[in-house]
Amino acid sequence: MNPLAEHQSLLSRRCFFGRMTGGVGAAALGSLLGRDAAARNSATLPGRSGFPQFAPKAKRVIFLFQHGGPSQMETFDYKPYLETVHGKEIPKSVIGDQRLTGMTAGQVAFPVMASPWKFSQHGQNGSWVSELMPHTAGVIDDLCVIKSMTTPQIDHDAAATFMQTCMQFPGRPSAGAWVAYGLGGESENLPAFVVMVSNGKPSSIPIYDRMWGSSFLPSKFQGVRFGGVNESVLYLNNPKGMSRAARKRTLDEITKLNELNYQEYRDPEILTRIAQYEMAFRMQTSVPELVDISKEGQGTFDLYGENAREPGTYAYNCLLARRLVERGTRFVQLFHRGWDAHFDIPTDMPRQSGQTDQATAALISDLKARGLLDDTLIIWGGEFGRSVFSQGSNPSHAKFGRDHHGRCFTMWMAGGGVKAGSFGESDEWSFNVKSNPVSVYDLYATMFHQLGIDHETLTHRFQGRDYRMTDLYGRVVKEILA
Amino acid sequence: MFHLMLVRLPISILFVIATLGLCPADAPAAVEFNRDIRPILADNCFECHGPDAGSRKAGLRLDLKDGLFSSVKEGKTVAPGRPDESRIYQRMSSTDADERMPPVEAHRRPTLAQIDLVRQWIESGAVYEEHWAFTAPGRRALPGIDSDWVRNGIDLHVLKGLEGEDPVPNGDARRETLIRRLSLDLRGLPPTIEEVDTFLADERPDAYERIVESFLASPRYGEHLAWSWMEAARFSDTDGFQSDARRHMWRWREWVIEAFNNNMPYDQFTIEQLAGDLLLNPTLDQILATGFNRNHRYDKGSGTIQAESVFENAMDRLETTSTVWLGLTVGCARCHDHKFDPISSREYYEMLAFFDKVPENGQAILFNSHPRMKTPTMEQGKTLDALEKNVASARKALAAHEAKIASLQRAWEQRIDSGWDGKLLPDGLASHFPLDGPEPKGKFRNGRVKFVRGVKGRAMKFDGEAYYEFDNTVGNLWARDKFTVSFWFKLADLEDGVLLSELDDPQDYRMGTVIEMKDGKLRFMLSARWNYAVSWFELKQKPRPNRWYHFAVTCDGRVQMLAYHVYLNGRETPIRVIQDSAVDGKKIKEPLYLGYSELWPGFRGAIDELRFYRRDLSAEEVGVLSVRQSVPTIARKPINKRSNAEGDLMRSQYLRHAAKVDARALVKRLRDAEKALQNFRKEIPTTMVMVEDPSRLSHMRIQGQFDQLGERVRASTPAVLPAFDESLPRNRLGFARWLVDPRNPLTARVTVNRVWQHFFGRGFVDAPENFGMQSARPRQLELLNWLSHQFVDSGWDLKELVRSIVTSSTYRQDSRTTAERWSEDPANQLLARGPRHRLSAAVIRDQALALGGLLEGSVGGDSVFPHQPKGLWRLTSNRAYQPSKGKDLYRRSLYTYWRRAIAPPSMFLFDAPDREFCNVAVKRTNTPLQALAALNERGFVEAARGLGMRMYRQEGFVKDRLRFGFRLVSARNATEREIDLLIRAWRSHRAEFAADRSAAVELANPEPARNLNNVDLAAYTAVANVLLNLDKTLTKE
Repeated sequence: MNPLAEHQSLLSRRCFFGRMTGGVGAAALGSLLGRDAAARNSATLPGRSGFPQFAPKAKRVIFLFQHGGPSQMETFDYKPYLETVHGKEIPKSVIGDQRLTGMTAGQVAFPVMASPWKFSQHGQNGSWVSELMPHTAGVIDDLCVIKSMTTPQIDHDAAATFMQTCMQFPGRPSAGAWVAYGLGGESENLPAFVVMVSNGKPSSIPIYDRMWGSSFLPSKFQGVRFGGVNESVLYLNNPKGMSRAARKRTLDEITKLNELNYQEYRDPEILTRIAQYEMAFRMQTSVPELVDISKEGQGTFDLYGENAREPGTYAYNCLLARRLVERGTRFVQLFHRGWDAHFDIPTDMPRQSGQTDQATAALISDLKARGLLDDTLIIWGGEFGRSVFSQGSNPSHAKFGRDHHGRCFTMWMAGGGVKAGSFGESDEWSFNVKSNPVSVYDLYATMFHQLGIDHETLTHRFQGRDYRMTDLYGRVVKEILA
Repeated sequence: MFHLMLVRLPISILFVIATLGLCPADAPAAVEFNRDIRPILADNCFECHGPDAGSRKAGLRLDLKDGLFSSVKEGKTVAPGRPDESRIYQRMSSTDADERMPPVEAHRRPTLAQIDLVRQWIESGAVYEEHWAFTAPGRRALPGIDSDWVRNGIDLHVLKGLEGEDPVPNGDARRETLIRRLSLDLRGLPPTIEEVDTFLADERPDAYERIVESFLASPRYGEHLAWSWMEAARFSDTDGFQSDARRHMWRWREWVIEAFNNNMPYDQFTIEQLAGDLLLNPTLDQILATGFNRNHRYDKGSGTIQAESVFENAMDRLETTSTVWLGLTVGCARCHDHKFDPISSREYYEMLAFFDKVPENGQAILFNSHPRMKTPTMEQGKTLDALEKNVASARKALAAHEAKIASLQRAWEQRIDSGWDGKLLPDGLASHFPLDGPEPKGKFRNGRVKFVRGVKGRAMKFDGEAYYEFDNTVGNLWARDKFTVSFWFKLADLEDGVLLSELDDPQDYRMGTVIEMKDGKLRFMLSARWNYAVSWFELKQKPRPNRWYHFAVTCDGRVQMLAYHVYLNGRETPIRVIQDSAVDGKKIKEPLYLGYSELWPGFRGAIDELRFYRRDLSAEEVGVLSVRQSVPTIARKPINKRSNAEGDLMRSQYLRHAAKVDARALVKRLRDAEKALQNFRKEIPTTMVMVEDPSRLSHMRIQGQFDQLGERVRASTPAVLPAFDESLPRNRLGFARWLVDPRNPLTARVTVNRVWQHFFGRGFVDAPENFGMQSARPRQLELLNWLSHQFVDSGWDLKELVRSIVTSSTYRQDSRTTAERWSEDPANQLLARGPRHRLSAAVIRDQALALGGLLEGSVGGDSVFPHQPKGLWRLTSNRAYQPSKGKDLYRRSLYTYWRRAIAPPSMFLFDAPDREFCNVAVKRTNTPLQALAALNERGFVEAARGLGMRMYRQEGFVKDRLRFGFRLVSARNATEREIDLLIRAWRSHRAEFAADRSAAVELANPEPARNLNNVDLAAYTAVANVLLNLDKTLTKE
């Protein structure tokens, strides 16, 4: 759209707000679920015109990001061969030119560790899943497990930034920001892109604002983080002593005075501000309504686990993810920290899977039961996987660690028009990709495709260059599409 | 022709007026190549037919005149006057998908209107112009227009630009609006009521100019301009990578504030920041200025490749410098020739060669990486002088008695016999192991180590297998303690091996101390937590086998590399820092091994005289420990044959064991003065600065890969810009001088454009970071050119430039206009109204603090921590946020601690850039989250309380008090309608608070034991909350 036309469309939207401003909060008292048609046509965050470009299979995305790098060998990448070489040195030919981190580079030996957990086959397709993931195993027929993910990055910061933005250095928008930019939101009461963080253990590796930032895209597309200590959204709560009624009055007063100012200046930005203050007021209702899970039946907590009652847990965030997509949020991103298992796989892995497995599976079956799985794309995985060899030279099955490993790891997708099954293969060491490598660029090319976007064409001009999510790369992995 | 009120007419304007008519302005052509055609070609064609030789198709180049008018086999690319015979038009307009350009796979499509413009351009003769930004701005006469509206040259250009357009310019804004606009623009703060009153009452014709001068003279001016400079310079208080560790660059920020306040000429401002270190005999301030190009992020992680990190740092410096001064984004050329701008990959690396000569090692260390220097504040400089004088006078006093002390010492030396056994430096000695035989706390492991002739008595000899174990009371080094480790060693060979280790769970954590030979060098590591060494370094000097060396390391208990001094043979020795972090871990108590660690090979060689101190010895004391000969032996040597360390040893022995009290007192006075000086020096902040190491060679990097070295290159500037004068030094200094050479077509215009953006919300060039081929010829190019000439001619006088902008009628215009005008010219390109746009994140907060009477006004200093929501840092990192106390909570936003990984939340919400990279553009969004912040954030609520209290304390009736509040936020009197609304608001809030007094107390949160009417106060607070959230308050009108 040319700037003038864009501006005019903005204007007409603003005029709409202008007409709405008679009673602040009137809209808030209406439907709180933002998915009704009226809402979609009004105060929702607009996307780029012309997007989606073709009929999307998925309307929204939930990315269950497992930060720290979960081990593929302990979860979905079954490697019976490792039993036969357990404790032996990994051949140099397998390692090849792979760069090691400072944590293992100085090691004198690199003994292979087979997984201490049992694998068994599940679902109609007989996929092998470890005993650490019993609930996910139960929904395996809904997953497309990609065992040939690969990333060049080996440090958390670089790898997680790369996984979120397709660039290891800061300075590019995150995937959620791109999606919000392209498609906008569907709710007039909630942001289009929401981020929630949970911690698996104290002192996990840090994450950064930029992982959900909008970089050079307008800031309104950046992820809004839900789940603060005292309030679900930054500054959502009125100051002490300011009742809801008093807040409504102050907003009425602000609106009336702003309208007077509009009469005088005629700057359309004033109308936008009036509308944004109204949206803020609506969020003060819609967000508490969103996070109020008291009306969820016992069945919900049987499904997600009892700890889904506890704000800040992964299970709670999964439940909120469902409630958010029900209400029209376009992109929900969970970060679960704590998968970094350098020293103690036998303790770390059951803890992390124990915190996440049930709720992850619950989210899938819940969305399925509600008919939302078909057009919601779910992505699960970390910034990289883990090394087949032990960190530390004298490991035992009672205590051993694994270093970062980006060259080959596992992620999965579900729903959103993705075909269940598995894709790609690792070698027998789970060290190198044996067939059908999938890069981070490919992952996003595919995700965009499912959202009805050609990943090469959703671009933004910055510093004289047209940037896109997938940089100069990316292939839609058609093989995994239903 | 000029408005009568004009009093400050710059001489340069008069000059231009005098030359009027010499060079009449050309009549603009209907279609202009630069304005209309080049951007179309750049967007649609240059990718394959542009400067990048690597991706050029069919050998056709459309970014150059020769290529554009070349003959191709089907005819002419452009045949002037004949669009239908011009291949470029034929192919763009073709309906045949195979024929049409750009091809489908390019995902680019010019609009029909654009294609038609190309046709019109060819039809009208295809007049070619070089890219406007790369051509030096021509000097043109001021447009000759006679109008009362005109105050200066800016207005003439604006009026000229409006010829043939519908709107006429607005008149001056109301005085109240004007003073508020001016105050926010020049000081970043609202005017006080007193200032408004004075201005309104001032009937002198130059009342406005007087206000301008007083605001320009305010220290707030420098602070306010420094904000966007911080964004351009990617200033931050942290490194920006995994651990996002703290750094200290605030002294550089002070330099910037002062430079703006002192109106340092912009050419000097440029030269000092880019190359102050290379000036002849640079002052401390000139070196401090170079912190500009050390503000980039700096990597530090377990997988960091140092060579890559060094390369990234250099590129950041180049790209920042290029963006800020040239308005060029050269980054694309790191991998390939630029697609749109005539900058080849080779030229990129030639420019990079100006910036890649910093002697840095590629791994950030806590609290400032090398190169860095001590940068005392003015106050500290005075204290430093005083302490240095104390040392000098103590030294003088001692020297006055030196002859007498020396002769008494000599007499004592002659009395000591060969069996003398004076204790060597016993103060703070934790343990001393002579290693002449088995030690009380030790035992043999894995066989028996041997004892051989050592430096003093015997020494312990290791064969790589047998080693020695001390119990867990020995060593126990911890980064928070002061300590010294000292011993002698002799290598059997240069193989890797561990001399000393004390580790907690070595398999996993490697926490503790290791001293080892690695790759032929001696390494020391004190690791606080697995993978986080507090100090990890190697000695640059390679020891040789079969030779005794004395090694010592001291630590003063600060958890950073600065705390360590390393000595070889009694002299401080250069080290290479491998890693340094802020993690202090815990004190460990593990067995200490000599010659062994669980992880690495054993030691082959000998160790003697192992000492641990609970304090950090001075350099002289370490020297004393490094003396090999015994006291009686040295006593027999003539004084002039003794080394300094031997002399120090003898003096220390004499003072301790024989000297009279007065000699000891004199020495003690000197030592105390030295200690005081040394301790004070530790408090002096350091700043990372630029240092030039010309021995570092520059290479091209194939595909931008740091390790794929291409040809060697020599530092140079791109061919499209004026040549690099051979008389200039080929280093950063030469580059900086080249930037501010008046012949440079970009620097002045890029700067003026940014300054204009500061006042009008947008520059003449929309994207201030990109003046390249894709930037269309700006509508007000003549004005930009004229201002740039004025700027350079004035001696790069920034305040003069600002003065000419804010005193123009253009700036002083009313910003009120009709809805039609807003929709016709939303971006105010015609400048037919005054600027009106939302304030920046920093000004919004600072204004609220000022209105609430909370603002703490001191200038400069270290960063502070205003309140932010609990747990924000904890949720995504492992550090807790510690808010400042007292006044520091209310300093200007310029001083808010900036953490790159988690930017201050309210700044972030109001579009402040994240400071990861250079940013000169302005983002201005309007979101519900901003509304929530301004309504509910603690600082804004406190500001509302403060403003409420100010209204409450104001004399008069409710109405007067509310008027006062409205005036505070807007500078003008409320209309009856407005005041009516406010009174109704106040009454309704008051009614609610009267019914719920506890709510009133909670909201107003008054200081206890003051006789206040909380209900009234709460109602004023609620109204203040409204006032602070008005669009007009958040906006510069």
